[in-house]
Amino acid sequence: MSVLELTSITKHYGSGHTLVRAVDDVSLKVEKGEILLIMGPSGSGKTTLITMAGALLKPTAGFILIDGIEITKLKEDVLPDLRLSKIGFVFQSFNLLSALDALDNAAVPLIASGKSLKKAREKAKETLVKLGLSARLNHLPKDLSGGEKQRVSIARALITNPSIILADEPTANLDAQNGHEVMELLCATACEEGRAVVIASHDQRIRDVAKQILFMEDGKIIKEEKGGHDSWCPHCRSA
Amino acid sequence: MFFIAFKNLFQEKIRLLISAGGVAFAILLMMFLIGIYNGIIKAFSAYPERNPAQIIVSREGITDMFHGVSIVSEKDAKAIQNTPGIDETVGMILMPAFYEKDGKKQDIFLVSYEPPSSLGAPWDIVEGRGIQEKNEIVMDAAFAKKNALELGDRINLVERDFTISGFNKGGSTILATFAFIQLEEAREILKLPEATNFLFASLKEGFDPVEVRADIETRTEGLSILTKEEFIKNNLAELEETFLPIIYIMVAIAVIVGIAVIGLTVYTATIEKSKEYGILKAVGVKNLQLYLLIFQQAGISTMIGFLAGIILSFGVAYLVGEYLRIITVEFTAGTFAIVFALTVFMSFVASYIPVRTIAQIDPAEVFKS
Repeated sequence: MSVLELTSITKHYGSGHTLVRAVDDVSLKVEKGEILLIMGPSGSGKTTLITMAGALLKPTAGFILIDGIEITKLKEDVLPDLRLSKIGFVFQSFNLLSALDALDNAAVPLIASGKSLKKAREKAKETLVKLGLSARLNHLPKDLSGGEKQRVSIARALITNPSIILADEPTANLDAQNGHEVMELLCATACEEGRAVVIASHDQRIRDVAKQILFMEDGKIIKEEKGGHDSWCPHCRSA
Repeated sequence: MFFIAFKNLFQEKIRLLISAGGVAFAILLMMFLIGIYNGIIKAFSAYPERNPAQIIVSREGITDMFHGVSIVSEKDAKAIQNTPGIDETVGMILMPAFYEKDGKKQDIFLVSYEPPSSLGAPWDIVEGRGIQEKNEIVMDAAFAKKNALELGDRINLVERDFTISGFNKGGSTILATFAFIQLEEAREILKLPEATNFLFASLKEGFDPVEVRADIETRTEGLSILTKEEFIKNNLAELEETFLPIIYIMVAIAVIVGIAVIGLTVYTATIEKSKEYGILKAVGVKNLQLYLLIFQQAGISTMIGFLAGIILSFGVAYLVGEYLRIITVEFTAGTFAIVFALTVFMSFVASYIPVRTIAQIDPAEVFKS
C-alpha cells in the first residue's frame, strides 16, 4: 500500500474566463522510504499540489489517500489530527514560532496532540540532539542560523513520527553547505526511518537526493525521471 | 498551550505592560468607585446600625433621619415604654449644624443621647470619654483630625460653646459628620422640653420587633414605627437612588476602557502573529486550541492587570483615608468578587475579535513565503 496516493487531482480557481487550473488531473504514488521530488517553475502548481497532499487544501476533483485513508472525504475538524499524526511539514522560510526556543518549537506538535510539556520537551530534545542541535536547544529562532532553523523545522516535522514529510523548497534560503545537510537529513528520514518524503523545489541540487522526479508545468505533470539517489545516498550505499 | 500564550505575551514586554497597565487602571477605577460607594453606605448606616435600638419611632410619614421634621411627644414615648416587650426607650433630637474653620463651613449632624443609655450613643469612642456633663460634646475622630481638634478644645456650634470630651470613630459621611450632645441640652437649644424628633427602643429578650411594632401601632396614633432594618434601608434609599446609577455608569466606562485596552493589544498581537497561528494550524493545532491560546493571553494580561489594580487600589485607598479623611474607601469580599467577575468578562469580550480573526486564518497560507 502506498503511503501517499493522489488520483486525478484537480484544483481550479475562479470560473469561466477567469478559470485557473492550478493543478490539472495529477496522479502519483509515493511508497514508504521513497523520496519524490516535484520540480517546475514558479506557478507550475507544485506548491498547490503539496498543500493538497498535506490536507490543507481541498481539491476540486480527485481523491487523496494517506496510509489508506481517503482524506478528501474527511470533515474539516478531523484534518488537524490527521496532519498531527501522519504528516510533517518543512517550509522554505522555516516558519518557527518567534517566541519559542528551539526545544519548544520542536515540541509544539506533541503538545498539541495532548502530551505533557515535560514529555514533549524530552522527545524534542532527543530529536534535536539527533539533528546536531544539542548546543542550540534554548536559543530563539532569531539567534539561530538558517541551517539551524531548518533543522529545528525538520525536528518539528519528525517529532510525531509521521508517515510522510512534505517539504516545500526546503533549501531555497540556505547556502550550499546547509542545503546539503538538510538534504542529508531528509534522505535519512526516508532511508533509515522509512518515511515517504515529498519535496517541491526548483533547486537542481536536490535532484541527487530524489529517487523519483516529476516535472510540472501549468498544473500538469509533463515529465517523469529517476533521481540520482542510489549513487548519492550515503545510507543506501553503506547498506 | 498555556506556555505558548505565556511566552507570546512576555516576548513583547512593553505591549504586556501597556495592556496590563490599562486593565490595572480600569480595575483601580472600578475598585475605587465601588469602594467609595461602600464607604459612603457604611458611614451613613453606621449610626443606625451601631445603635442597639431595635425599634425606631418617628412622626407619621417620616421614615428616615434626613427628610422632614419629626416630633414624638412625651405622651407617645410613655405609651411606647409601657408596651409589653419594650426594655428601654430614649428620645433623640437631631439638629443640623456647621463648624466654621478658616472661612469654610463644614456640616455636622448634631444628635442627642441620654447617658448612660447606649441607645443612640457614640458607639466607638477611641479617645476620651462619653458625655458626663452639660456643654460636653463627642466629635468624630476623622473630623477632629482633619480640623486639628483635641480633647478639651472648645468649639462653637448652634451659638453654644461645647467642650470636646471624646472622639468617636466612623461617624463621618460625605454630607456631614455626626457629633453627640446630651438630650437635655438639645432640648434646651430647640426649646422642646416635652418632645424629641425620634424615639429609640430596645426590646426585652425573646420579643420579636415586628410583633412589638404591631402592638405599639394599636396603642399610638400618627407615628411611624420602624424596625431597625427598615430604618437603615430608608436612610440609604436616597443614597442608593442618587449614587448607584452614577457608580454603574462609571464602572461600565471602566469596563469598556479595560475591554478596549486589552482587546486592542490582544488583537494587534494576533494580527502580528497571524502567520504563526497559520503555522500552528498547519502542523495540526485545532481551532479550539488556538481560541484557548487567545483567551489565555487575554486572561494572563487581565489577571496581571487585576493584581496590579488591586495593589494600586489599596495604595490609593490608604492615601485617601490618610489625606482626605472624611471619605472612606471600603473594600469588601463582594467588591473583589464583582471586580474579579468584571475582569473575567473583560477578558472574554476582548478575546472575541481576535478569536474571529484566528478562525479566518487559512493554514495553507504558510506555504506562501
